[in-house]
Amino acid sequence: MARRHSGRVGSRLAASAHERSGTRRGVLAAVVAAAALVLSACGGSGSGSGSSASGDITLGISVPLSGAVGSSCAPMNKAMLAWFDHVNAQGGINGHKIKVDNRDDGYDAARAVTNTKAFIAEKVAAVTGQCGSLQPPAQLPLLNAAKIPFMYVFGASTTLLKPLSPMYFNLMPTYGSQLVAEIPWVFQQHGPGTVALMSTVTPDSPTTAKQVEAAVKQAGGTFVGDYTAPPGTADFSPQVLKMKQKHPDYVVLDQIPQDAARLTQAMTDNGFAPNKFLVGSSAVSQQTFLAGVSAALQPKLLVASDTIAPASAEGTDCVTVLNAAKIKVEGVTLRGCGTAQVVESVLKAAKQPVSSQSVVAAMESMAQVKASEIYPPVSFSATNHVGVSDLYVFGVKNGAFYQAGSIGG
Amino acid sequence: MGLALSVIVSGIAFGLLIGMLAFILVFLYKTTGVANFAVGNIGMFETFIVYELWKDGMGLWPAAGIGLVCSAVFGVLVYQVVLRPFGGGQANTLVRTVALFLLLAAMADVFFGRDQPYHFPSVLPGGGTKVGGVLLRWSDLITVGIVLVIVTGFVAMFRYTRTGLQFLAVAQRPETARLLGVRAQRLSTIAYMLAGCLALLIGLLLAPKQLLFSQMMNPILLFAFAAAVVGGFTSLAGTFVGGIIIGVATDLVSTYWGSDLTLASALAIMLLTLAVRPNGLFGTAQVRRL
Repeated sequence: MARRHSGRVGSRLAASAHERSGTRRGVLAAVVAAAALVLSACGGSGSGSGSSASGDITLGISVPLSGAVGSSCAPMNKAMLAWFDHVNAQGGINGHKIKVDNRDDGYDAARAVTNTKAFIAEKVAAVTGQCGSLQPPAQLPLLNAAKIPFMYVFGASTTLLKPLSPMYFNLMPTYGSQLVAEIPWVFQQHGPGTVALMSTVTPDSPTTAKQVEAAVKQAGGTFVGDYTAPPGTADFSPQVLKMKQKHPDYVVLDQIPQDAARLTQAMTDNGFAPNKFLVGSSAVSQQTFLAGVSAALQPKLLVASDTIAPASAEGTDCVTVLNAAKIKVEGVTLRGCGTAQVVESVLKAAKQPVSSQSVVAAMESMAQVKASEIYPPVSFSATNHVGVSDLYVFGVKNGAFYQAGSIGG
Repeated sequence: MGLALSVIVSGIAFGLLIGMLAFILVFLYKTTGVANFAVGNIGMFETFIVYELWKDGMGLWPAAGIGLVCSAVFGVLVYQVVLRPFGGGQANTLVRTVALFLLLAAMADVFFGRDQPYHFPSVLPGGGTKVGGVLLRWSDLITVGIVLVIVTGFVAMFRYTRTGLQFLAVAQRPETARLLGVRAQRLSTIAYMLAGCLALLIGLLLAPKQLLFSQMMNPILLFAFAAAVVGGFTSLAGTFVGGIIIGVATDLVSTYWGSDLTLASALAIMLLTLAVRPNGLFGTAQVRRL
């Protein structure tokens, strides 16, 4: 009987053997694939490993190189990259080069998220160099989940700092904090007085208005009004005419630079100036803002900044590097170079091999470190993720900012 | 009371600029049958050309003069290359104006935009005089004079010149006008040449107040559209009345109720006008025989 069925049995046996061998191959392939996945996952501690096989330290930068703020942010980015190139030319960080994945997000949150996902997939050590306030709130949850530090955004937002986010580190205090620190200093130097606040309507502006009002009262001044306008307002004459009626000693600016410049133009057109000073934050510490302010109003400007004035930066390594790279030396490029210097300092202090964890640990143990020629000493801790607390105060002479004083330090 | 009067005077000045942009919108609509959304950015781009000439050392008035010639040529190019109706109807042409609007903004960013916004010097004198406690700026008074000259000139052209009558004929009955020998494309070319020059004029008046940057005209364009609707899309003089209404109303709303309501108030006035007088305050109903 077995012989009679031998052909069919044989073919079934052969088929079965073939199937078993195919099944074994499939299982083997699955095991190999699983092993590959496990091994690649073990490459980092479940988050940014930071160092590639060659030992390069990988950083991700998503920044507006085009779009509404591209003209302000692109120079900052160029300056950062120039400093990193300089560091690599000097041998890198403890012998390891800095490799930057530099991407344009066009001031668009969705594009910034796409870029951030790519950085996470690449397991960068940190994401830095962002410029703007629209994108960071979209990027941060991803970076928090991936445990990759988000370093030194230009464009501080209160919502990212309160509550404290484990992966978010900023150099610049919020614009509200800057104004709150600046007002008592201005009163000390020039006497208390009446204060009007002009704000661009943003999510932070109501909070800032309350902070400024409290600071004015605490410093012995009188708060006479908060005037607001949406971004891109075409005609500031109504706000200026209302302020003019109050004859304020000080007008505090909490505006985006273009609106602030248009406001000052409307002030000139309507024959109005504060009795003493126009007081601003680092938002208006750029030359592009100053160029839009009339010559009559420029001497009345006092602007806080977390970076030194371009006039004070002569002789620094940043200026040397920027000149060599044929990048114009101005506030925004000095900020880019200075930020890159702080990043370099952190990477040098981080335990080797550099990883996201070692970068965070290095930052949180920084206390009054002079990490950059451009910034004041920087301090971070587990409960404080804003590095700069001292500020410079700029006045204006001959159409350019100069350092009129400093706050703190 | 002093504040209200000052705001009204400021609103009139702002409204005249809105009215001028609305004037070009209505002029092109009357003569070519298409409302051109790109006129604001045409003016912006032309103003950048003047700025570049001035920045390179040319005096402001010579730069403006050369800019005017370039604007006339630019207007012709815009019509001939981008907007001349090759077919596709009015909707197609309207979409092309939107594309041109976006393209000009992008080109301005690429060629001129690195350090924008720029401070642009005023072609008009500063200062002013106080009347009853209200500041009347010389620049605003001169703007009123410019507007009167423009309106008078164009109204006279439409009423008393052959070219003007041909403009009206093409706008109202393009096919009939062509059959009667009116060269519609030549007239449209002339219209865009004039529009190019007027757009530059607006840019030169606006840039000192708004700063020169690629989105300079955007806030004004919405108000200009509202002004054109309020004045009537068939009335050239009505655009300035519409502009003044929008300018004064939005400034008063901004002063007494908050600047957040500025755009909403302009659109509300537009909707109210459409509800009460669908052809605008000075527009006439377009009657078509079936």
